[in-house]
Amino acid sequence: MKYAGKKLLSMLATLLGVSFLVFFAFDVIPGDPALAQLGTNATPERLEALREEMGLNAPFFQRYFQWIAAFFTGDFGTSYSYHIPVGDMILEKLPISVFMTLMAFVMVLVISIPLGILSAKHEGGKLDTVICTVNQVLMSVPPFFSGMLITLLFGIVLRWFTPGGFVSLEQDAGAFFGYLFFPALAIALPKAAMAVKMLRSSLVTELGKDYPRTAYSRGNTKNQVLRNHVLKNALIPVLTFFGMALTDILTGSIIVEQVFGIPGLGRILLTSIMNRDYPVVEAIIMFMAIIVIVVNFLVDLLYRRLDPQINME
Amino acid sequence: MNKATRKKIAGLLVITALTTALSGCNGAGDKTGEENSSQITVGIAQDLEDSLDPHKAEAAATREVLFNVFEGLYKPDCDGELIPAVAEDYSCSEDGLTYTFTLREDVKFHNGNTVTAEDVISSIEACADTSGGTPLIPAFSNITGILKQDDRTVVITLAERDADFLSYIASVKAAIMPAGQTDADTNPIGTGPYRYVSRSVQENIVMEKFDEYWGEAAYIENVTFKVCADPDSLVMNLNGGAVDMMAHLPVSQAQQLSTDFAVLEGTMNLVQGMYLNHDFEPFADERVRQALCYAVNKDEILDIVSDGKGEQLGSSMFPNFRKYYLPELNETYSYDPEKAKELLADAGYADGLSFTITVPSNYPQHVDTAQVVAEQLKAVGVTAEIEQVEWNTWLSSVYSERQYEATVVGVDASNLTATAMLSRFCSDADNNFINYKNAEYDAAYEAAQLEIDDDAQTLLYQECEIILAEDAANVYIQDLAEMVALSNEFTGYEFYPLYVQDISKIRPAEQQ
Repeated sequence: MKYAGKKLLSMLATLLGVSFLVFFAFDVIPGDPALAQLGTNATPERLEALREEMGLNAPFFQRYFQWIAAFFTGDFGTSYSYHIPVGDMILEKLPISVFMTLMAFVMVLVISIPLGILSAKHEGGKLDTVICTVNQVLMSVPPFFSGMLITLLFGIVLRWFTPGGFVSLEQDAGAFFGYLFFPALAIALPKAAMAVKMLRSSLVTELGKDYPRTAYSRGNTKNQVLRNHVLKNALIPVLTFFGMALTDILTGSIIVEQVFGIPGLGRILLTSIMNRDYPVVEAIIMFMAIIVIVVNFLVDLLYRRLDPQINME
Repeated sequence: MNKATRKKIAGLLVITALTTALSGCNGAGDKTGEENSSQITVGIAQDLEDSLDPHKAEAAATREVLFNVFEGLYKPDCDGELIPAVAEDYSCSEDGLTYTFTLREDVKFHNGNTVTAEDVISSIEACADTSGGTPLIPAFSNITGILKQDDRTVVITLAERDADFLSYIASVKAAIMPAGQTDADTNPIGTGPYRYVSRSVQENIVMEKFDEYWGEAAYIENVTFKVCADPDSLVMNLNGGAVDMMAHLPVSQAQQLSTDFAVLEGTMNLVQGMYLNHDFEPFADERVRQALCYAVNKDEILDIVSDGKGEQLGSSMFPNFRKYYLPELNETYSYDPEKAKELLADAGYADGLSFTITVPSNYPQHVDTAQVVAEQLKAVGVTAEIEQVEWNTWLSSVYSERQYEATVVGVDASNLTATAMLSRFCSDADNNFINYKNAEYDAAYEAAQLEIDDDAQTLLYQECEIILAEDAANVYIQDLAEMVALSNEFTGYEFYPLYVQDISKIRPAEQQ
């Protein structure tokens, strides 16, 4: 319980830090949300009037504290560019990012665990060599590029999906998941490759220890040793990676969203930064920070479950 | 061993099954072959990151789309003529100070209500409101009174004569909206041929044909403006069938389109040039500016940047403004590097000159042009360094604070008046971002503004253009090529001399 309390406190501190940094960064970089709205039609008078209306003329700390107070009471403000409540905007786009992340993450698990085990089992063999080589290639291709290759192959040549033909969840759930499959694959491939490599080396290390030999001498087959004795121990270091991968996929989906023309949180974040639409940027970044913190917290808990020896100080 | 292999196969099967099943779902939504022509998807390069209230919307990209939803008392047609819209006629008094508009009978708003004189008055008043300083339409500060004469007649009086008044009345900005509407930012209600249905941020804007439109009805029932923000995936979107029409395509991408598309060519109606900050010391010298004009080879720029497409320019006016455009000004400075070197030496820059060109990085055409220009300037001993900045940084540091040396950008017109192109070069203009100061120009411009006779006024505006060209106010380059891709299933696209995408004219190809 003490542990959870401590975690919660550090979580709050992190959020405050993140929000302050974003707020501060926007104060420093050139560009002005009022000017972004008025564009080339800006006159000094209109600019001043709009700045006043947006509350930009208040001192920095006053603006920051007003915002943070509102944020923690659930009022995320109104978007400068779209004049829509930020909360509604994020809520509408949330399913896209969440489902794409989950799909990619499931793919990472489904691909990496069997292949990692297979590779470790045949360490040094032909299959292992093939898996390791393919792995190496996949690891070095960034998602935006594999995204373009996937679009070209499955979208243009095979016509399995319509590039840019994104359909929202409310409109047609089947088409929605169908469209997200390929972007999720593009994100999942390099991560899965890394996971295979980590799991393989972790398994090989574990297999070289004494306890598997004991297990063999008790008449276990290689499969039994792997499944019942080695896998659980080998998974612990890989678990950290899975946790990181999950948050990485969520926050890193921005570029892939761009390649596949998916109007998710990443795209909104990007355009809002360009438009200096602070309320939107702040809310999305806070939201992502919360997810990163929560996932890390869950990984820590899982750790303890898998290996009670790990000290949680 | 056996078990693991089985597992592996099972895993692969799951993946394959998922892939096929999911792509199967998607295949149903595939448009090719079973396209319903009563639906068109129009790609837009950026979302309407703006208020949807036409009075407040500032971005050209927003007005271009809202043109389909809103109308003013008058509106422009594709030749740049002003045609009656919500009004059916107007008359202007002898002295040019009183405009009487007769409203069309039974024009309906998209919410079903009939347009009344009160709606017209409140809309014009909103645009002319001076309580926040400059009114939304700056020229409307000239309005002294808006009166309802009877249910179908509205009289607007001006303080001074303004030959361009009807052009302002006809801009999307002066759209007629229901009086007293409070949610106009997010719920646009107009009188145009299309009715706003819904939007999803960074995803799309959906409209449908307005059945009670007073004028010639649109052909296509449903229109989706789809945001295609990534230029690299744009061609795939088009070729893949997700988008039927897309304007403002770069030449390189238009060339990659499949035969399913017709590529229509026009010009963007803007003046692309290397704009010079006259407060930057070297550019205060006319000889330096002229040298830069002589050093730039426009033929080469057009060849490299847009495969030879586009119109070369020599002053701040573009060809579609037929009334004011003077093609001969393009020859003011023909490419002559030797002369450029001489002029630079005269001005005291024989040993070279260096400056920075600030370019907004979101406009590849301007970035490309800047690069070619910088390369050409090397030949005459001028070192131009290119600094790419994000659009908002450009707006604040170049346009608003004028902290720059040179910039390559396109300047367009917000309405069909010469003022829209020329007023910014007056010494005391708010938007004179090049800090141009020329008493002769100020005098010519003022004379044009006061002139009553239309022909004489045109000549005076042309005089302004000549001064800008001869004085080498900026290094004028071109009006960029505008490429529109339209699927072969549709026809009827029309170019306007303004930023407008008129969807109501587009029709399915078989109805030709």
